[in-house]
Amino acid sequence: MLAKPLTPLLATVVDLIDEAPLVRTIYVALRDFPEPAPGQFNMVYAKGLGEAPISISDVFRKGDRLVIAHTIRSVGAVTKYTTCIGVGSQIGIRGPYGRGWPIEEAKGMDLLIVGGGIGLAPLRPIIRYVEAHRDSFGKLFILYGARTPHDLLFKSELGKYANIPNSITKISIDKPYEGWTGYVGFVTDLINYIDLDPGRTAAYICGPEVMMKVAVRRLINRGLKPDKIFLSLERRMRCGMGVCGTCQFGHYFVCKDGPVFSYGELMKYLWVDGI
Amino acid sequence: MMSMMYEGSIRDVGKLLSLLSSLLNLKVIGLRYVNKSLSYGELNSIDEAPLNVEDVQAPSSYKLVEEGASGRFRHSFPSLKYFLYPPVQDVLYIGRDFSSREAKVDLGDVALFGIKPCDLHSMKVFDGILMNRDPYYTSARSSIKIVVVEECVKPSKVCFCGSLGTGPWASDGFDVAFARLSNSVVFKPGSSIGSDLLKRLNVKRASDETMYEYREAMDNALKSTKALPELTALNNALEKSMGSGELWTKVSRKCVGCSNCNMVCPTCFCTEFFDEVELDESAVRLRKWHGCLSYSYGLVAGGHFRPKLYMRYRHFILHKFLFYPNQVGLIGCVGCGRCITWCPLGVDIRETLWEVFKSVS
Amino acid sequence: MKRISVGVFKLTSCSGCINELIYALVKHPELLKLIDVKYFTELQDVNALTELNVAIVEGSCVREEHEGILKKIRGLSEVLISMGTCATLGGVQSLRVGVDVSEVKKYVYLNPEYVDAYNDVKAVGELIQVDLSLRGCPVNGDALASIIKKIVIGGWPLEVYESLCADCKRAGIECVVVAKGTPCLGPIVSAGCGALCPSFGRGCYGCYGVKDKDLDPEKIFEMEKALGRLGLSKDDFYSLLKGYSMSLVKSLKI
Ligand SMILES: Cc1cc2nc3c(=O)[nH]c(=O)nc-3n(C[C@H](O)[C@H](O)[C@H](O)COP(=O)(O)OP(=O)(O)OC[C@H]3O[C@@H](n4cnc5c(N)ncnc54)[C@H](O)[C@@H]3O)c2cc1C
Ligand code: SF4
Ligand code: SF4
Ligand code: SF4
Ligand code: SF4
Ligand code: FES
Repeated sequence: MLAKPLTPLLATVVDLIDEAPLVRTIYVALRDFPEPAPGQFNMVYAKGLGEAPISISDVFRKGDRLVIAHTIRSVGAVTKYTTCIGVGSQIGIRGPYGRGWPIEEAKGMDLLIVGGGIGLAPLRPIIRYVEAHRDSFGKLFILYGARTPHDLLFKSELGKYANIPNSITKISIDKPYEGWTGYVGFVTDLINYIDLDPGRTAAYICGPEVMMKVAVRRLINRGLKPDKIFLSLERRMRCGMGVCGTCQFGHYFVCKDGPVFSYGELMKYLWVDGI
Repeated sequence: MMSMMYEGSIRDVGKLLSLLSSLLNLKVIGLRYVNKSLSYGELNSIDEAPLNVEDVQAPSSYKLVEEGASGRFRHSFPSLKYFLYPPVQDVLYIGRDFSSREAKVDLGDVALFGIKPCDLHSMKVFDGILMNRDPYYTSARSSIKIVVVEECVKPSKVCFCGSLGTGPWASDGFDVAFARLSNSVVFKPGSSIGSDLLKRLNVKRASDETMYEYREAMDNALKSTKALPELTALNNALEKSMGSGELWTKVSRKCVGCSNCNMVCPTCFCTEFFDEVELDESAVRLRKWHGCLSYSYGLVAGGHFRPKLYMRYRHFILHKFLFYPNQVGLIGCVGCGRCITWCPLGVDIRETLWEVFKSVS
Repeated sequence: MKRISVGVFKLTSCSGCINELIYALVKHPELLKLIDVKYFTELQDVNALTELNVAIVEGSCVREEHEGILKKIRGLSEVLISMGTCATLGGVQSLRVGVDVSEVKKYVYLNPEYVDAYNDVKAVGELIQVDLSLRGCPVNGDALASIIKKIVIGGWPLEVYESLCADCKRAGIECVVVAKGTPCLGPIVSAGCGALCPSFGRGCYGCYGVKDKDLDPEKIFEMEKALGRLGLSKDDFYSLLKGYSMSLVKSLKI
């Protein structure tokens, strides 16, 4: 047990990027913070307001400090606060928490990434990882969807994904939009437009739960194995470390047993409404 | 229950209590019955223990009857968690410069006195979730040096520990257990310290008659607390019932989601965190119990993971019976019956389990 | 921290919540440095109806004129808070709903013709969008102060929806229904008062209003049956609901 597991580390905001309406990426620099793995999250604390679980959307070293990015949509008590902070503001961070994406095990395989809306945030570290270890993996498919072109995250980076060798990126928006020439429809439709080799593909999915369920159905129909499909679940979370009980999903504590699970692990519960 | 047993009198129970403070220098904590009200606190003498009252319990009904020496007290709504994991607790103090200090839990060295076997068992469940994970619980729990259990010779109408192996007697995890029989009290050591303590009392090896009376009493108590279907079959039924919204709507029809059951349950540990902020920009971070029957449980910005009441009621039951065994290796319900007595609407978990069992099997 | 502009408006109510707000400001005078009170006729003489960061409305809507005022305030304010059970759910004056208002007036006022009111009593939320509802008759001043502080520092209060029973048990109060057979509305009423009545051995009569998120008419009926067994008549039960939770009585059609 950490000596002070519920104490947030003081972090200074070093950079801010406005990604989309109400969505900002906040970069903080930390010393003495464990290196997070792709798919893990932090509890982000706004003083006097509370904490919210936020995925780590990027990590890099700068001198002796670790810079960690959190891409946050402003929706409530804590996240609203992020809209009114600037470079130099202070927030609290504790983490990293949870079990992230299993990528080591997928070496040699093709990777399929399916992201919906803010769900691309926890998937970005996988893309980074594959870029850095390009020869260890087969094909890379990136499917990403948002409601409108404005809601797409990491806009300047999305275009560059096409330059990753041996990769295909497809982007969708939900409804027709002036000036949009790409695909219109659900991101899960895009699964039908790629050439998957089910026997050697591992899929990594994050987005609204309905979207993840549709994606799972399609991928199972395409012949992917349940233990090669990975989902990152969202639940109400208050502690991040298995003590407050609020994140339970079936017998799992999403905060410590997940947030990433294989579909095989979730099969029993995923289709039960409100479990 | 086969270790060497002793017999003595009620005076030895009092003497045991005083030994805990005088010899071992422990703060003796138990349910106190003072000015006709019950609460956890420091027991200064045996007279403060609820030994001469009886709690008459039934679904949605609780009466304390002062009945003289034949009284058999089991429990009231406050379970050990009021002491070990308080309803509202400071967690952190955060200064205006963001310096922070974790709240300290310092209970001193404590002996728990007179707790019931079901409550003893509930600590194991709590330990499985919180020990060495939650610093406040870990520290509170570590302050407990000695546990003295009173076994249940006469369980109440809502007790069903016998179905779960959590009572009516204590099997492990205690130092001394005692049971009040018609004319004597039997004592059972559960640890070497327990044996030492008993040696200091004026107790002798229990006679065959006393042992006979004890076993018969425990046997009857066991029979009266068997109230559930056989557990493996029950678990299979619960597993099968999981997806039937209709069935769970039916079994939860009387429930209004008040969360009394969560609050009184000795194994419900769920909490909500919140901040109190001062205008000098310092803040206190607190947490409070939050039951899964409450609407906010599962509520997130932009959605709800258990929007209907039946889903939350189902989670309460499934967590106890199906999910805890995966999480801590134990069933999460200890059969204390508190949720039955203290539900203002008269919901009875035993009926729910039977109803599910019958309609699925 | 930037100061936020605030307006406080009163419709039909007893002003008890406004009193609580004033007590809260007296108890936390530092708050006054962080808010710029633009409109508050009970507190100051000079008032201006201008754009506001936060509008706080007390009282329910009982005549056409109120509806116009509410729409105007909504148009001027970024955040609108309904303060108290009247504003949030209708309040005690809803007891007259269902009887012709001209009849009711005669019982109370010497010159009933001076009283301008229609038959219905409407909660603020029935007419305009409300961003935050605060229940209580009156509201809890400390909770109000805490909310204002959180908005001032750029955040939003954490909303927890639970029954009064949760507060009652956390406070270690023995349930009056179970231990005394005293009728108590706690199980279906929102937490917030800290279980004031049960702490004095009385049953809750519902001044924070019935929970609005997870109850349907069948559940209300279960509660009515349970309290009926303890001797609370059906009439009294529904009067209490009407008196403190009218807008829910309407929307649940009970
Ligand atoms: C593992 C994980 C990773 C996440 N990653 C991101 C991310 O990268 N970017 C992002 O914008 N959002 C993310 N979310 C969702 C984000 O946590 C919520 O939007 C946020 O907690 C809302 O908090 P709030 O206080 O602003 O809202 P309120 O609705 O006022 O929340 C009240 C409290 O409820 C809890 N809560 C509310 N909504 C959620 C939720 N959806 N999930 C968990 N707890 C919730 C919070 O603890 C919060 O303090 C993630 C959620 C999880 C579980
Ligand atoms: S089971 Fe009873 S005590 Fe529990 S939430 Fe439902 S009505 Fe309340
Ligand atoms: S579920 Fe009910 S009977 Fe079981 S431990 Fe909890 S309160 Fe006791
Ligand atoms: S039953 Fe509900 S409140 Fe109790 S521990 Fe389980 S999830 Fe938490
Ligand atoms: S006294 Fe009322 S509020 Fe308290 S637990 Fe009982 S029913 Fe609920
Ligand atoms: S977030 Fe607290 S247990 Fe998972």
